[in-house]
Amino acid sequence: MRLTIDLTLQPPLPTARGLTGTQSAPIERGKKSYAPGMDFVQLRRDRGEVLVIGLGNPLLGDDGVGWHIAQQVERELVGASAPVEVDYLAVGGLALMERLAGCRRAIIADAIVTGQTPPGTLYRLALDDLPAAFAGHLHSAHDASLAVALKAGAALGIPLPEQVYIFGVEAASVCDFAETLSPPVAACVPQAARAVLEVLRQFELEDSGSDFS
Amino acid sequence: MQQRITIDPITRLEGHGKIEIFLDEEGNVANTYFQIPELRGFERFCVGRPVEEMPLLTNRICGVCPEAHHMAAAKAADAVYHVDPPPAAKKLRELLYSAFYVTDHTTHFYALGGPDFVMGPDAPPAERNILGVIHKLGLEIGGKVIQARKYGHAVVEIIGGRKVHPCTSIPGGLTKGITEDQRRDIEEMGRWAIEFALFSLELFDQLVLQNSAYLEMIIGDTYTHRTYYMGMVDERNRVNFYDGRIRIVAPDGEALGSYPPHHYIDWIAERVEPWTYLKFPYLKKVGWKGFVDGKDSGIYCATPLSRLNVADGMATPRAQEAYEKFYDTLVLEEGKRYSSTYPTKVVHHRLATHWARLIELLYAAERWVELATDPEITSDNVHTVPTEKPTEGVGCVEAPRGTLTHHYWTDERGILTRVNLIVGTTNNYAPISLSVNKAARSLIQRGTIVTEGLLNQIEMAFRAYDPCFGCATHSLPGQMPLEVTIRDADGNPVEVLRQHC
Repeated sequence: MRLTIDLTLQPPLPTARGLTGTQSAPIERGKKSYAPGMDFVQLRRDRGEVLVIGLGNPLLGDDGVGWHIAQQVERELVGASAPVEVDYLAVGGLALMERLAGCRRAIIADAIVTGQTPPGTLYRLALDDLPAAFAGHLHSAHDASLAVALKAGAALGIPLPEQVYIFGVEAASVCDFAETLSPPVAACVPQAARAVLEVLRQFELEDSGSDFS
Repeated sequence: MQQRITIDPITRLEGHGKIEIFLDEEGNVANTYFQIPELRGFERFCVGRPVEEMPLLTNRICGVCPEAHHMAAAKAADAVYHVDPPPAAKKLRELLYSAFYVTDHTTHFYALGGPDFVMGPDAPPAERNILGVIHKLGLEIGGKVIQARKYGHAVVEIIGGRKVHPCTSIPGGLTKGITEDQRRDIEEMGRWAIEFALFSLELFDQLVLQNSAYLEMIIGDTYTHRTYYMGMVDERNRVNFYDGRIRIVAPDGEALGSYPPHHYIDWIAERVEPWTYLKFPYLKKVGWKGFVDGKDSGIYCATPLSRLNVADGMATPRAQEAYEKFYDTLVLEEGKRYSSTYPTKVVHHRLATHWARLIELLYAAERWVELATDPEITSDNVHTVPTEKPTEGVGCVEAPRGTLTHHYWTDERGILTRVNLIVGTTNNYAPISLSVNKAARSLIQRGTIVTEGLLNQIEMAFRAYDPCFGCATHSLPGQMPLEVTIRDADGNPVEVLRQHC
């Protein structure tokens, strides 16, 4: 299969439609099997799924901002019938790629440290745009960058998302143990959550559009 | 004469593998400094929490080896409550841990260490990764790597209750055992893992050992440091990852001794240097002699290579065969060069760590099957209820990147009052600094700087240790971003080299 990663910056979308009323089928999960010879590809065949990942270490202050964003998104989605799964991870590289396997679209929220913008600045990033120093958790210093991991996964025939959106929030403090965010970073969480919801809404419009095509 | 340079604390590192090289007036290397970030406030963060939380909390410290922190914390919590888990609980924990080792060592070899050999050490950094390996060696190998990771994750999930961040270890054992169906699945996956480990060793043999240039690179002086070694051994002095005594062996192969984990304070001291926040652990009984190797210097190393060096062998048959081949080959090669000085069974070549890691991979897979076929493994008796008053305890395991020690103190209710951790890689801070210094000296002479090779050489040395400073996925983003600043005798920057940043 061909892996395409959407790199374009999308304009804000009209908010006429809510997240309800989607036509997508509910997610079906097959029974897990670990039997040897079982193909990885068959393990997660729940295509159609949208996955939102809060990435980072929730114990390291602003490093956990991705978790806070994902939590807010999850709260907003309560009651919505949209087939969106929210997960919280502290892994990068191959492990992140493995988690993305089987879903059609993914949105990742993470902390970044560019040192060039004030804490709390929201970035919408593309995988290939990320120099290593920007990349936060998307890279793992112990195996591969997410971009390399996704290419490797695609080469191996693992079903990976057609679209990966990344939101990053400039962090202030990522080296001190704490479960709270610094004020400017905390202040950015609602805006970041809205941006994630906006993308979810866009997915929904794309899907409903294709129903009529 | 080297000019005295004061390094301002604000230039201390945040987020990079930052290296400062100072030259003397002749243009030779006077000094090197390798600085790394340190996470702060962990003790403050933990104090006031119940000790039972630690296996869950510490496994969040790190996205790379959460299982290691989970195990060390669980063992320390057992010790705090003076409780001995039932045999089945210990075996299940070790089984989970063996499967984790298979995942971790596999990933390291195929995604990090291996590409230097598969693609060649001079290939562009952008090609020296798992994608390059797949392209060069074929999709089948990539599929096996993913399969090995998947099986490792599966065992962690079955025994540990969830993927990556296990949650079933509590003081006195585990919250649940496994069923016969699960046991059968685990055994089957383990048998596959043994085949995969044998395949990996065969691949290493073909790729590296049968290539005289690579063998020369491993044996050569650049990546050789004659330090002490540390590692955990069982009652017969064989490598063990989960439990045992910590053994120390001198550069000439003589055993300095061994200690139970709770005696670590008598053996390990920490050196403070003004230019870095992180401390350098060294052997108390030998003493700190500066950044030098040899028998008089207390610098020690704790890696897969170290674990093989301190042990008398491996506890499983095929890993033992691989172990014997390792020493037969490398001690023979070593003997050809340095036999007069070091006739004994210790390998000092840091690049041999990659080979040692694959031998440990085989051991972990064999141990996985051994434990999965143990008649006791499906026992329901997986928890001993703690009855004693909690006080203080130490828990130790071998993390893939070195000996990991957790030390907790609590009040009579089990609330933490003090915490001390020595994480795997910290053990290796001094040896890595030696490697940086040696690389700099071999490539900078009389003002001539071989910039091309410098970063590569340093990076290859790093990879052998797979440093995980700060124990967070975040602190070293990317593929070990490196920044090397070379300064003249007056402290002015002559050259700044960067890779992955």
